[in-house]
Amino acid sequence: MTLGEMEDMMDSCVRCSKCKFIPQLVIQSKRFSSICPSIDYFNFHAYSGGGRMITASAYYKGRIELTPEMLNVLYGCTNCGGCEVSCKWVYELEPNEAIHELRVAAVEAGVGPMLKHKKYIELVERNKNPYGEDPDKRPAWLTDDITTDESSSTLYFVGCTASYRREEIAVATAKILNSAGEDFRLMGSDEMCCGSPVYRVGDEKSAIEIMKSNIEQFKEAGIEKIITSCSGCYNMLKVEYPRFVEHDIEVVHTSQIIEGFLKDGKINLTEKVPLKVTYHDPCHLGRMAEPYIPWEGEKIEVLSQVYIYDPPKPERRGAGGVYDAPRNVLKQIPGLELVEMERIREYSYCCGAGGGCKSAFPDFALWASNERLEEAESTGASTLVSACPFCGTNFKDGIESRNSKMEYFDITELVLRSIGGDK
Amino acid sequence: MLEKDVYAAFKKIVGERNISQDPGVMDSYAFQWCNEIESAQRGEEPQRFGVRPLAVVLPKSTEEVQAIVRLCNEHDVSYKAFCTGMGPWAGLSSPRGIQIDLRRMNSILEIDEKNMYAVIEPYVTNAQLQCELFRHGLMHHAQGAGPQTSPLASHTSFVGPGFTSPYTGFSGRNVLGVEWILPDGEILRLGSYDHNGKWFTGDGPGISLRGIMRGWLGAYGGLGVFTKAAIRLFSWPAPKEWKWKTSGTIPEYDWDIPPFWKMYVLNFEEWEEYQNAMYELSDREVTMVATTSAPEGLAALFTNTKQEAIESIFAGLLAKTRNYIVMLVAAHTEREFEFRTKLVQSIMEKYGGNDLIEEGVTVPKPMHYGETVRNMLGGHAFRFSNCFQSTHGGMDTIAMAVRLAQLNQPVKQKYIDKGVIGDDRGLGVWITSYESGHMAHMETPTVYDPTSVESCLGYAAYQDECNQMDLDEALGMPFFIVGDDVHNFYAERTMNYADWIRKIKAAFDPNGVSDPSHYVKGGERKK
Amino acid sequence: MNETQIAEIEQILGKEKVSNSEKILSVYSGNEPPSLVVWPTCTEEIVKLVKWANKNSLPLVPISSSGPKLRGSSLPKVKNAIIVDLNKMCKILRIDSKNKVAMIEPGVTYDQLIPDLKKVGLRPLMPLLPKASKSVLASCLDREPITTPRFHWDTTDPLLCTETVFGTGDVLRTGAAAGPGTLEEQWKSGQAQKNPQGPSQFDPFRLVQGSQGTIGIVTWISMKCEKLPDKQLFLLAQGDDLNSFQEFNYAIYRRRLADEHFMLNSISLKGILATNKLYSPWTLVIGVSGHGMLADEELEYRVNDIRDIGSETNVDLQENFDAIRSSEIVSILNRSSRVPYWKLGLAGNCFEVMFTTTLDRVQGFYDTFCGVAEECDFPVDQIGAYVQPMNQGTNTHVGIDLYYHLDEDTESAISLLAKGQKRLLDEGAYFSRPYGVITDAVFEKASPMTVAAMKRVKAIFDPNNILNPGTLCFKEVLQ
Repeated sequence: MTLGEMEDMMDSCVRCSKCKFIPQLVIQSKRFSSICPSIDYFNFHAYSGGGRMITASAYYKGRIELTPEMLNVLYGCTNCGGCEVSCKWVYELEPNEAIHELRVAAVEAGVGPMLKHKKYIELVERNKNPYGEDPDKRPAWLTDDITTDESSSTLYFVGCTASYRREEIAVATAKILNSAGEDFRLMGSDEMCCGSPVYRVGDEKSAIEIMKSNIEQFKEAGIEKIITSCSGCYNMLKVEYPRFVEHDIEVVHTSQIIEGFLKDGKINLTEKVPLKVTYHDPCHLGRMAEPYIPWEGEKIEVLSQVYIYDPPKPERRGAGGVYDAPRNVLKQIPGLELVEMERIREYSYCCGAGGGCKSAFPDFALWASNERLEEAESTGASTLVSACPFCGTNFKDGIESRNSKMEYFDITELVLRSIGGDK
Repeated sequence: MLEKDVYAAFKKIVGERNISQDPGVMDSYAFQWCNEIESAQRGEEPQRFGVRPLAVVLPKSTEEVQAIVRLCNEHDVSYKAFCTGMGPWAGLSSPRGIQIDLRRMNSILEIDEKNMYAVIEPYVTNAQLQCELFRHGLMHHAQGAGPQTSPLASHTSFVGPGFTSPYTGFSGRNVLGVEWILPDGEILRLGSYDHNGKWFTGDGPGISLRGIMRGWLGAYGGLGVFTKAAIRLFSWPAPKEWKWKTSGTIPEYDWDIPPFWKMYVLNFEEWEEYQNAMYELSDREVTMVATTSAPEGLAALFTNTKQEAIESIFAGLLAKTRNYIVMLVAAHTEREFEFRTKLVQSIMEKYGGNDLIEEGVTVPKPMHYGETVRNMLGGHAFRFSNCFQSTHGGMDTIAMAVRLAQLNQPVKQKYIDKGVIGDDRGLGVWITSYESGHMAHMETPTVYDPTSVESCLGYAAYQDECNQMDLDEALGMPFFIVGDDVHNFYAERTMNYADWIRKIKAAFDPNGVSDPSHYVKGGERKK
Repeated sequence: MNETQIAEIEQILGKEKVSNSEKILSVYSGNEPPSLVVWPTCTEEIVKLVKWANKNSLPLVPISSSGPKLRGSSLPKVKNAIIVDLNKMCKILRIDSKNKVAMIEPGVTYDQLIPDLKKVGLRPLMPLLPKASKSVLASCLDREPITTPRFHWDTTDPLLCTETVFGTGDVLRTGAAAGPGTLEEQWKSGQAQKNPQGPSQFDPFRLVQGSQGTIGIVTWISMKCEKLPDKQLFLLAQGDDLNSFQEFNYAIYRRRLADEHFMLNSISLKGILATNKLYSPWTLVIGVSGHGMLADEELEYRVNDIRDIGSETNVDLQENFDAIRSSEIVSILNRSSRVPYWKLGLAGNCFEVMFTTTLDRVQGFYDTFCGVAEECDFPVDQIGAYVQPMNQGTNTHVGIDLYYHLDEDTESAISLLAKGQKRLLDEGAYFSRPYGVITDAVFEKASPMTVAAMKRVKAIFDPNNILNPGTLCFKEVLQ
């Protein structure tokens, strides 16, 4: 949808501020009642879901220009979708979509994205990853004791962060797959960034190019199923790709496939992992992971001024995220105790890294991870677990910055430990 | 644009991060729900963008607010402070004005558990305060605007009905003391605070300056800035070990209902029976909630989506629903619960009512109990078209509220027939009683389409007609009789009350910089 | 006052409503004797009088109650005052049982009002045993605490709407009574002048209340009433120290189970009951009621829940103790005092001290005051105390009476009144209704901005300082 198509929707915001908080019914404390790291950090209304929707409408109407400060407003947002979950409790509005469309419009107007984003987009185009690392070194994490099967139709899509920054996740994932007897192949140095960092900052044109080329590559390789250990990649392949490029490849996240292994008895969690952990729902595995189901139909005025959709329009409210799989896995690890934070599932608080913030607004990203870490610490857990290397990187930075005693692990690392695979 | 030196002076007070004059950032403040109605009422093209502030500042302390206000006085800059800021009253009327966004002042300063009051800053929200109060077995009066809005704003500056009004009263009557930056920048702290550092009463010595602070409607931010408020608290009827606990996934959450709670929807065929029952139920203190809406409203109350609400309408809810009262018996002990439920049953039978929950016409889930006490049900009305607003609002007796509902029906129907407002067959009302039935008010929530010019104009005309009807039929003063022009229209037949408010404004805002939007300008009325 | 002026007033009111006889004037004499007493009988006369006073720069002191003046707030503090005695305006204008409200003129007393309310099943929200000649309206305007804190939602209760003639001579019906519409039209539309707030964006009733006649002259008020109980039971408790009731009291406030709820020290109890019995240092009174349908069951559940709270908080609740029976308490409620006023019964004279605090601090303040009494050689057994929870328990009125004999202990009583109140003030007692010697100190303790704000208000509603000058912080004399 373009900004023009969204105008009525954007103008329907009543500026109620619900987008700044988790759904009101689930608020349990003042301290952990907010949902939006951006408004929490920057404070001006424009930095909220509703506020951005208003500025998007103002821009579309020609009332304002995209000044440098407006770019801060536009990009000082992790695009985590929290605002939309809270908004949709009552309204039929999609603030997160509007934010994305304004980013797209900013790029089209030649104003966006921000300099840091432009730099990493160049790197993605040149080096296939936003870190500017050598593409040939992408599979450098691969150890001798890992078996891959290049003839397999199952691809472990490692992703840039696990390949270059959180190699332990790639290793753990591969070893778990081996242990379960799940054949898989890698793209190795041919693996291209999923396009997430490009897409999220509104460079839709480049992102679509990446999506197309990736899908082409997968099809050429006969890939029928993709496993990702990264929530960002998962979201792109599962949710965003189908909006632009048709594909029928099954996409699963490590937490889901591990849950399946456990159910089928393919792996056994035998080793005790005596940790008290709390689990962080990555936005892209949680509320953002609901697929878009294309809808065609009619808007019917059933009562004066009241419209419904015929057939009913599929709702995207965050209910369909991957919430239970990682929890079911963690709960089965012997010796491990799972305690929950106040903000979980579709109303999880974003780690602060996404949407291009980690590169363009590192202070903000670090601040947000500290916010979340404080919540994690308040549970009494010694360990924070999540299922996304990008969240993990930001949390590790946060832990260091606040000298926290808390440890961070990816879910795959704990599973590997419990199957005795880390020895 | 503000002069560079003036902007720099503001920046010096709040720091660079906490001031902006970017037009885009400013537009996120200029845009307000209901601006489209007010612009239509002024004969302009309906639109949500109102006056764009020249700057927005985000102070962190009373001292910063005071310094900002003083600077405004010095440089003839209007200001308006607000909390979450939902509605045109949060916005400016003066083009040379700034907005004071109080978002950063968000502490709960004190909860006096024994003496049952809390001292809060502006941006503490209802839901946040509630969470902290429950730990002490206490609750506050949360205004109907919703759990995400500011209790300080409601208590100090705005009309304040809420779902628990029979039990917790009305915002303006629950204020114990305030810290108030007067329009000229002086700080006034009402009542006991100066004498012992405690906020247990806001009245005296001698006269109560609460008398100039807000009145019934509140001054809508037109008379300075409130930086702290002490508000009364009430017992939260749940055992000590009970905790606010939700589970599940949106929109089907589960919520732990405390023991000794029971919801009713008592339905009465005729208004007269309804009225008698409403008097008796309120007087007997059996219910925490006594709310009436249209049958269409009932469809929205205990459902989670528009689709569900509409489905329940088409499933026949309307045919079985007449004049009803949503009630919540929330007792502290089993004994209290048994007495109250028995009395509710007796009152229902006495006036020939039936319980729509018992009969399965509407089925509140546990989460709807939670939504009721978290003050979320009013928000459900937005589900129909993303928008509604209320007309009328007069507050006195239950009898007046009922009369208002009856007289309103044909007027509303006229606009429904024109297709410009939502169709509730003219029955759409919201009635609640206060203080064990001592007062009641009635307003008419009305659905319209904010993106349709025709609908905005239609709604605006309907509101004007409601205002005229209240004037002609002596049905109390509606909610939105605020702002100079509207005051003039009403004051002539209401003892010229507005002249006094203008004198107060002139005496306390000598430079006229506290933006008078939705309040009054100082000085004598222009004839 | 000169003859012309008197003649002009007589012209406004009629000769029979004006007097300057010395005998009559002496009844109303305060710091200064008044120069004239007038008895208006309607609002129009008051309007004319106020306008006249503005023109002639002569002060008016409104008064509604008669009888002994313990506080002196309505006695002139400046020369040449005209007493506006509203005693002759004594009609009960309207009683509306459905809406639990009465509308009364200034001269109506409790003994006049109670039977009329009773006929329609209502009772007033009233103070403990007021003097027989006490004006109900004045009591409401003085923020006099009521014995039933459960029904005390806002400090202003039971006062609702008023008709007020401000010091400018302008009339305003305050609250919902302002309109739209006349009172008759409002009644027709189902209204009953129940919403005290407003009109609109100010609360003039809060300015008139507590002003001790300095803002306006009130010609009628509507007041909150409650349903008459069909069933009633009183429970008493005794204690050496108020703190022994503290946990119980706080629990009861929350639950709103009781109607009457207050505490008396033994001296006050003796005075009220006019006995010489020996009472426990403190007696707690809890009145419980049931009314309407299931009245018995209501009473039972309330009493049993109260008893449970008593057990949990170690308060021994009994209907009767050896020294005191609840029937004796019942006999002093919902009525006014015998004549002479009970406060004068113990020693012939009484000074009143009253302040607002929270319950947890009351015993401390009481001990402080008794300590000062010892310093001043004032007999502690002549100090009465009445502790009345207000605002559903959020704050507490403390009334301390100094019962003194003329000559014998007048000097020590005067000394204690000054020193004791000052000590209380220093320790944080809040004199929300300042009367007499403590007044100036109270306003010195209030921030200068509070005083300045009050003066700005005064300048709006009584710009020429016509009304009761020299009262509260309004010290400006007439130009």
